[in-house]
Amino acid sequence: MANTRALKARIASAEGIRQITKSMKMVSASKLRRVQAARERLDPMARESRRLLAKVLAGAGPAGEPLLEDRPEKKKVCYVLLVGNRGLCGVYNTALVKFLEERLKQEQRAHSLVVCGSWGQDVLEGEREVLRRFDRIGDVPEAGEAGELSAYLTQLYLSGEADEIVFLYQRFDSFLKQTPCAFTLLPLQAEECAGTRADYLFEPDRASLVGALARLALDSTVFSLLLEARNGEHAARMASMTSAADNTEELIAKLTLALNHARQAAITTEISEIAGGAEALNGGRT
Amino acid sequence: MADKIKLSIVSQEGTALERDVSYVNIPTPFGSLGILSGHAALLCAVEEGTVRFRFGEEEETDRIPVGAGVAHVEDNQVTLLVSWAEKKEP
Repeated sequence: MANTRALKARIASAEGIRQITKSMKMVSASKLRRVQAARERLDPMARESRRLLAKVLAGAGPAGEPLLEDRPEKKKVCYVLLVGNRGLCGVYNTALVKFLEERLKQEQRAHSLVVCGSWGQDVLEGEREVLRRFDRIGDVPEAGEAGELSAYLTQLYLSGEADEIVFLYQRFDSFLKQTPCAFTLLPLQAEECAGTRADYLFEPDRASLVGALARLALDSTVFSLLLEARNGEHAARMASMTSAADNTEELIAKLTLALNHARQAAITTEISEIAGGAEALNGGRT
Repeated sequence: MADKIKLSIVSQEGTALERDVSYVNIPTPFGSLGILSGHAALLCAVEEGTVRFRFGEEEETDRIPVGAGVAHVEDNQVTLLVSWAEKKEP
């Protein structure tokens, strides 16, 4: 009987786990939808600002805009790591940390690290110095949070504390596949633009408009990177929670089978005991 | 109609407005700027304020508050990229 009691307890705890993983999956699914909707809303802004910037630059170079100018010597590089807000999402965070470590191994220049996301404070801060941590970025990032990050990075770049700013994040390839990759945010890379025209009127002047467009493009790029990283995080969590829920189902099925066996064995023993007892009594009478 | 301008107001929260208008008035740091169809290609700073526009046969007017940003005018297409804009259903 002790065996069946233990089995029952294990089944109950497996059921608890199944419920938790199922609801975590549901929560991730709803956050994923919200992140995707935000990405769709941001898309026109990101596209238009980059297109206009390319168009204006195609005329006559960066016009002295510091955000666009490639510095001849890039001595200091700042890495911005976009980790998730928490774990339980498969290899999402650990793959990114591994990617960072490989990257830093090859890095000859002086480098600093900015981390976005509240996961892995112990993992990341134990070994290396983190310049600044943005751990209040929500599961569904908002424009204001992205603006804060982008303002900080712009200031870091303009003050000369970094000559290059590189984002390390999980690119969202599909629901099932995210790939760690690097993206150079600053100096800002303008797209190539074929058709241009020289007869633009500028109000007040070209340089300040290039600056304004560069900031708009920068802000929307930072925002879209944050959203893309979160999109991947929620997808990864959904996938791992789905497989966890499936595994608990399997475990519950196995345990139920074992419980049934144990119960059946107990019943069989009981019956044979009764039968044996009855036989003994009958044998006594004849 | 030939004298229509396509006006779109875009912020990070999405496209706030997209419609055909006959006249747009944009707030700039140097005062408000009126744009009719056939305007020269222009790139101009936008100040926080109210964009006014006229549309339809009746020349109705409407307005939409926007944040600072940049306006781009080319080929009767006016695009405002702004930090925020109040969303309006067409």
